[in-house]
Amino acid sequence: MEHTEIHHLGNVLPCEEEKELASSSYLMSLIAIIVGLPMPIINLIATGIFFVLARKKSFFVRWHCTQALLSQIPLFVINNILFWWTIHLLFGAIELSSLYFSYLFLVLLYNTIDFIATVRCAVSSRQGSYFRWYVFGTITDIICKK
Amino acid sequence: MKKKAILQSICSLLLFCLMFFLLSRVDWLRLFQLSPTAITDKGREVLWTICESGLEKEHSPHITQPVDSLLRHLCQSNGIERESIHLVIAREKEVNAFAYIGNHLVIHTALIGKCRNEQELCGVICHELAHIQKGHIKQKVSFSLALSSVLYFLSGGQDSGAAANIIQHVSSAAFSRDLEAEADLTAVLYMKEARINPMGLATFLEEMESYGVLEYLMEHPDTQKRAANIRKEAQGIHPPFIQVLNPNTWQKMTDECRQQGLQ
Repeated sequence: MEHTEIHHLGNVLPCEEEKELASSSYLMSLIAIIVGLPMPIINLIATGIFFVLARKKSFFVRWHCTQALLSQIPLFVINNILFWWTIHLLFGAIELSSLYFSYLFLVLLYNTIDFIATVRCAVSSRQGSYFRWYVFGTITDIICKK
Repeated sequence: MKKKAILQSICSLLLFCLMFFLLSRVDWLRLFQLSPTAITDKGREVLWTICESGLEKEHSPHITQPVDSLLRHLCQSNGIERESIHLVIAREKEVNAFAYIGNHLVIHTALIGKCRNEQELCGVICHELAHIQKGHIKQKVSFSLALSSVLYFLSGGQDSGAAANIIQHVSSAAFSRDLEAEADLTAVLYMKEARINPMGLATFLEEMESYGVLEYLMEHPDTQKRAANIRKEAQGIHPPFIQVLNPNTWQKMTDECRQQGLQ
């Protein structure tokens, strides 16, 4: 991940409202994860709704909302796999294995990294700068046109 | 830019897979001293607790003991360990019986009251016993069951009534036609081994059809066809048949169940 000052990606300084909106797009996913547990789809829906609402806003807001949404997609996929794996275990369809624990710890690690990065993004966008995620930042650049 | 995105995506995916591979090298089960069925057992226990919370158990010895005697006879005749089956008689006005994960066999008092003789009740018990023995319950684990558990956990265990209703409904809901047919045929074999007239199961199904007992028919479809198949299968089984219960015991049990239905 890298920290980019605002003049690298846009010449116009974002106003307070834009900074707040961009920051909220990340915070939304965090709150949705906490509220929506154990259903791992709420965070994706929340960021999706925020993305749709913010698509007509300035480039700064759109860029952050897109990155927030993109970062939730792999999280949604890997958390869902764990969720349904656990459900199958609970109902006796499959047996507990070391592979399950391996995946569980990996998902926990990914979620922790995602959480820290999301908080970092929320803080950066509130300060009016761009915090680019590895992969998601690059894809966001492709999607978001000024 | 697109090339960079693809390259970064591949790198991330590879890193994820590598981490998973490295973590999978550890024998976590051994490390945590867990058996492969640890979660399954706990899950079954939790589900049964939810289901059980919605049932009013019948404790009258006039009802529980005769049913237990029938089940014991059927199990012993077929080499099934009686203790492995958890019999629950529920004081319910709905004519129903169902098998549940964790080898639970639930029979409603209304169903006992509807049976005209012990062959019919044995037929129902054998049918549900077959679902347990053939592992049909595991196959019926569905999204609804998962959802009801999630609802239960989300409500912090407060809304157990709603979750119990969903679980009971799903548990007693119909199996696929193939599984029902297999359970019927197995039930006939169980009854044959126990020297109990297997026509009892067929007559019970026909009886339900003629009375139009909706809840039972909805959960056990194709009743007429099933009854015909059971009759066909049972044709080759000839007397002598035995009577497990004393006629007075049977009468007392069914009378008590019918009285409950009137209340």
